[in-house]
Amino acid sequence: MYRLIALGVVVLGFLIFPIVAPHAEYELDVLFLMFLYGAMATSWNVLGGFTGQVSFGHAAFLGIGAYATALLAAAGWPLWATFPAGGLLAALYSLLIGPPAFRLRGPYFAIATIGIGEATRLIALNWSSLTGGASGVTLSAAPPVTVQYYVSLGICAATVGAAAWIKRSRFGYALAAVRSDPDAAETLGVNTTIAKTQALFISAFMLGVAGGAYAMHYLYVSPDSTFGFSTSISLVIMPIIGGIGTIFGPLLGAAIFTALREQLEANPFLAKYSLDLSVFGLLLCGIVLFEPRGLLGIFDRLIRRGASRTRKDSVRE
Amino acid sequence: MQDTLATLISALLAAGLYATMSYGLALIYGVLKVINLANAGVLMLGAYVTWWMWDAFHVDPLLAPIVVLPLFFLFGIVLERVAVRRVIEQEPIVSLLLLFGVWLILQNIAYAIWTGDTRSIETPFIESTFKLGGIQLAWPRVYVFVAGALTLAVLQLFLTKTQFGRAIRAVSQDREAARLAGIDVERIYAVAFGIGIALSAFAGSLLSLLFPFGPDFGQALQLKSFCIVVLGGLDSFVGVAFGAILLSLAEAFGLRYMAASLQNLISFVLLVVVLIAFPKGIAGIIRSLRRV
Amino acid sequence: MKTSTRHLAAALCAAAFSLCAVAAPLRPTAADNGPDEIVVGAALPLTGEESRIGGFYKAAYELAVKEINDLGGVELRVYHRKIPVKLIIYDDKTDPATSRNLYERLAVQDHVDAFLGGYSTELVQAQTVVPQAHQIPYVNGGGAATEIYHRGFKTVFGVLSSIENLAYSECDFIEQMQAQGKLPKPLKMAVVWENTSHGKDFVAGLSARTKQKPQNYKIVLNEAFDLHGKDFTPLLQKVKATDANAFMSDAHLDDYITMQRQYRQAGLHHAYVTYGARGPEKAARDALGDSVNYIFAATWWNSQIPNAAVRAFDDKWAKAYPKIPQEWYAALPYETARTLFIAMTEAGSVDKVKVTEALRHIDIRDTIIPGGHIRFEADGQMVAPFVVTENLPGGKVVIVYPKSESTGSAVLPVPSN
Repeated sequence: MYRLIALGVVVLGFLIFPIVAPHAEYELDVLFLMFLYGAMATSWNVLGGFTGQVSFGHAAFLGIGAYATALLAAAGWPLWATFPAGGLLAALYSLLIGPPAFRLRGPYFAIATIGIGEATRLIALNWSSLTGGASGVTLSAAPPVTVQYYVSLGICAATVGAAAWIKRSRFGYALAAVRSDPDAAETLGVNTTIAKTQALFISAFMLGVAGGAYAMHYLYVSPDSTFGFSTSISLVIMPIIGGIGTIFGPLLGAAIFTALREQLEANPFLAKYSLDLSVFGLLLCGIVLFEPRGLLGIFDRLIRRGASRTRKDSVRE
Repeated sequence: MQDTLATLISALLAAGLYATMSYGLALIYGVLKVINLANAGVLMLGAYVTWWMWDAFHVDPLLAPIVVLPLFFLFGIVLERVAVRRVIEQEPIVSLLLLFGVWLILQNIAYAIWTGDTRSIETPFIESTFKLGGIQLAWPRVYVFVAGALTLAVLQLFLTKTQFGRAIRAVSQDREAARLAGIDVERIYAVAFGIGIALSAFAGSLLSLLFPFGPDFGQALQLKSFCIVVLGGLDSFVGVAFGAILLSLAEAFGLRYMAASLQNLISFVLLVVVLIAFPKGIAGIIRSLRRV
Repeated sequence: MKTSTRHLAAALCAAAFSLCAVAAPLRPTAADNGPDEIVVGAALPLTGEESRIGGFYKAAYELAVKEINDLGGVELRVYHRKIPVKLIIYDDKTDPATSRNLYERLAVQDHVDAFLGGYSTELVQAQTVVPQAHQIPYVNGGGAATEIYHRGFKTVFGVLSSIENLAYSECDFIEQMQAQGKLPKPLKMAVVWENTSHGKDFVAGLSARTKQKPQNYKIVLNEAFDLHGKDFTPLLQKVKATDANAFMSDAHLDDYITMQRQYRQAGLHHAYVTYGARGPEKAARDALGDSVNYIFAATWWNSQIPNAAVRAFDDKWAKAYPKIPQEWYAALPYETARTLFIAMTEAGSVDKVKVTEALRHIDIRDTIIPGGHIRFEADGQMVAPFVVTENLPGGKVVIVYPKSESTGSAVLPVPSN
C-alpha cells in the first residue's frame, strides 16, 4: 500500500513538474534523456538481466525504431503511430536473429551480438535507397519540449511497468530459471530457446519504441549515431551500474549515467582527459568485482548495516 | 592469373597479421576460459608504446618488442592477480564485463597521455618494397607475416616441448585434473594471462608498422579477431592460423565481387554464420567429420 | 520498507541529485543598455576521432574572440557601445547525439545569442537541428556536405564551400592541364570514396562533370569504402585491374595515411593522384614522409595564398599558437567567428532574427578565404573556389590553381619514382 502511494506521489511529481516549472527547458531536456535512457536500459535488462543473455548489439533495435519513426514520419504518418510501428519492426528483426543466435551460450552469444550490431549498422549505411546511407534522415520538426517530456515519461513508465510485471509473472520465473541454470530449466519443462526468443522479442519491441522517441528528440538519425557501438556500450553500462536484473536498477543506472555525462562534458578538465571512459570503466570493474548487484546492491548493504546497527543499539539500551 | 596470384599473396600476408593479433585471445581463452574483451585495448597500447619509443627516443620500431613483450607480460600478470583471478570461477559473462571495463580504462589512459591524434610511424623500412615475379610486395607486411608464423612455431614448441607448456595445456584441457596432478593452477593462470597479453601487445607493436592508430584503434580489428578465434575453435593456435587464412581469403576474394564498403561485413557474416552453423569452429568441424 | 520501494527511492534520489547537480541559475535579463556580454557557444570534438582538428577549431575561435575583445567587443548600434564576447566551448567527443545535446544545453541553459559550428559533416548534421528548433543564428566552418543545407533550415550558415565544388575545382585544374598536354584526355579516373556524405558529394561532383564533358573524363571505377579501414589492398587490387590513369580518392586523415601507404606498397602509379581535401597537411607528411609527394589536394584555404591578408593571418596565428601549423582548419573557423561578429555589428544588436537576416545578406570582402569574399547562397552555404595544391619533394607545397593565387607550376604527370 505504502509502495503504491510512494510510487503515485513520485509519478505525480514528474507529471506536474512541467506545469510547475514551465521554463525549466534544460531540466526538462535532461529529464527527457533520463527517462529515455531509463526505458532503453530497462529494455536491455529484460534480456540481459532477467534472462542473463548479455547483448553488445542492442543498438540495432534502437536504430531500427529510430529509422522507422524518421522514415514513416517523412512519409506522412502521424508521429504517435510510428512508435509502435518501430517497436514492431525491431521485434520482427529480433525474430530473424534471435533463434539462430540463441544456439550460442553465454560469452559466445555476447560476441555474436557484437557482430550482429555491426552488421546491422553496415546494412543501414549501405542500403542507401531506404535509409539515405551515410547522410541519414532529418525529421521536419519536433513536438514542444513538454510534449516530448510526457512521451518519454510515458514510455519509461510503461517499460518499467511491463518489466516489473514480467519479473513477477510465470514467464519471469521461467526467464530466471534460464538465467541461473539453462539445463535445469530444460528439465523443468522450460524451452529455453523459446523463452530467450520471447524475452528478446519484448526487449527489442521496447527498444524500438524508445528509438522512436530518440528520433523525435534528436530529429536526425544516421547509421553511426543510432546503430553505433557506443550506443550498445551505454546500453550495457547503465543496467550494470544500477543493478542488473532488478526493476529499478536500470533506472538508477540511467539517471547516474545521464548526470555523470552532463557533468563530465561540461567540465573542461574531465573532458580534456576523456575521464568519462575511466569513470564508467572503473564503475564497471568495481561492480563486477565487488557488488554484482550494482549500486542498488551497495545501497541495500548500507541500509542493512544501518538497520543492524540501530538494532544493536536498541538491544544495548 | 597474375591478378589472382597477387590477391592470393596479399590475402596470405593479411592472414599473418590477423593470426598474430588473435593468438593472445586464443591462449587466454584456452587456459582461463575467459574472453579477453580488453584485447583491442592491449593492441592499441602495444602500438602506442612502440610509437612512443620511436618518437621520443628514436628506438627502431623493429626493436620495440624487446620492451613491449616483458612490459605487457608484467601488466598481464598484475591484471590477472588484481582482477581477473576473482572472476575466473564465475559465469563467463562476468569476466567479459570486467575486461570490457578494463578496455574502457585502457582507452582513457591512451587519451590522457597521447590525446586522440592519429599517430603513425614512418621509417625507411616501412616504406621499402621489393618485386617478386612481377608482384610488388612491401617489406613490413612480409615482416609481420614472418613474425606471425614464427610466433606460431615458438608457441607450438613451447606448449608441446617444455614442462611449463605441457602444464599450460593440461590446465586448458581439464583444470581439476591438472590440480589433482599437482600443477599449481593459479600460477599457470597468471603466466598464461601474462603471455596472452604480451602476445596481443606484440601484435599491436607489429600493427603500428602498418597502420596509423588512435585510442580507438583495434575496435574494428577486435571483431576480426573474434571471428578468427571462433573460426579456429577458440583454443587452438593452428586453428587460429587457419581461421585467419579463411577470413583473409574471404575478404580478398569477396571484394572482387562486392563493394569495398562491405568489407567489414564479410567478417561479421562469417562470424555469425560460423557461430550458428558450427558452434565449435573449424576444429569442431574436423572433429565431427572424424566421428562420421 | 520493501526492497523494491527502497530501490525506487534510491533511483529517485539519484535523479533528483543529478538534476540539482546540472541545474544552474538563470541568466539575469538584460537591462536597457544592453547585455554585459554577448554569449556565443559551440560544441567541438575535442576528444575522440576528430579531436586533432577539433583542437584547431577551438584555437581559432578563441583567437577570433580574443581579437575582438581586445578591441572592446562587438559594436552594437542599438546600445551605442561595444560589448565583449563570452565564448563557451563544450566537448562533444565526436559523438553526434552528444553534440546535439550540448547545443541544446547552450541554447536553453547558457542562453547563447548565437552558435558557432562544430567540425565534420556528421556532427554538424546532427547539431544543426538545434539552431533550427530555437531559431538561433548558427555559422559553421566545419560541415561541407550539401546535405546539411538542403533541409530548409533558416538560421544555419556555412562558410565551407561544398565537396561538389571541391571536385569541380580539381576538374577545372585538370582541364587546364589537359589543354597543355600535361594530362591525358580523357582522364580515366578510378574513384574511391569514403562512405559518408563527404564522399558522396565528391563522387557526385566528379560524375556530374564527367557527364557534362565526356571528352575529358571517364570513370573506370567507382567504389565506396568504410571509414577507418585497415586493409585497403583488396580495393587497391581492383584499382590496379583497371586502366585508370588518375586515382581520385576522398578520405579522412587516417584512411588517407593507410591507403596511400598501401598504394605505394602495391606499386601503383597514376598520372594524377588526389585524396580530395587531404594532402598538404603537416600531420600527413609526418606520417607518410616522401610518400606524400606529388599528391594533389583541393582545400578551402592554404597558408601560402600570396596576398597580404593571408600573410597577416599567418603571422597572427604563429604569434598566438607557435606550435600549431596554419592549416585550412585554422583559417576557416577563424573566418567563421569573424563572419558572425560582423553580422552582429551589421544587425546592430544580438536579436536572433536580425542577426540571421544580417547573415543572409552578408557580403564581406576582406577575408582570407580564396577570392576573399564571404556571402551565402539561398540555402545558407557558401560558394567559393578551392585552392588546388601539389606536394613536392622536400616538404614543399605549391598552389597550382586558381591562377590568381598560384605560387608555382604543377609537376605533371606524376613521375614514376
